[in-house]
Amino acid sequence: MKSSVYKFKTEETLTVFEFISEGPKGKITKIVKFNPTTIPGFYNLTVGDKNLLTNGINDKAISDNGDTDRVLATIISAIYAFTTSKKEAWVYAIANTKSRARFYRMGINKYFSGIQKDFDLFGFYGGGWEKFRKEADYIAFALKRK
Amino acid sequence: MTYLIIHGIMKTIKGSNEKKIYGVEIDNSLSIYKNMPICQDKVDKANEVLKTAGIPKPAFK
Repeated sequence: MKSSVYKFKTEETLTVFEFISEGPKGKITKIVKFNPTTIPGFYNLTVGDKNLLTNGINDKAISDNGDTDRVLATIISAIYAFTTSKKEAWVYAIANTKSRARFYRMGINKYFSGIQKDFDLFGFYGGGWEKFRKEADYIAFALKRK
Repeated sequence: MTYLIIHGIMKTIKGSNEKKIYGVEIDNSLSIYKNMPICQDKVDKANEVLKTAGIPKPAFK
């Protein structure tokens, strides 16, 4: 199933991305950032709503702008762009809320067939990593380009 | 306005082998977020998990 992707922009190192979600709640600017972790080559994926007045980022916002599929497709595009520029990088995502965990699972499950062709994909379960299973209730995910 | 062409930036979502070339706009005003602590609690949690659980196995290939 094909989904359209929001046009996004990035900076020269391709670690910060910005796109605009459009829906019933109007235009919401989203920031996707790949944060370095203490382990070299591992980057933590964060997504939040940008405050246009302060330039701050709210990662706990639930925008519910009626465009979840398109937002997910755009985030996946950003992951492709980031891992194209950093081929050996791991992308790690942890959900800080149940709704965010469900959001990430929805995205991965929806585009699983495409993602698994290009990425090694893992979920964090029972205190350790395992190969991603669509039915599992993960709170954290890791992926790396094959 | 600067555009960076990234070949094969994203395969078609449906999973085909078709590759597309996307012009990606470069906006260096976004650089302010590179060193800005965003979602620091999540980064701290990520560091904690990676420290205790280690890294997924393919990294050892």
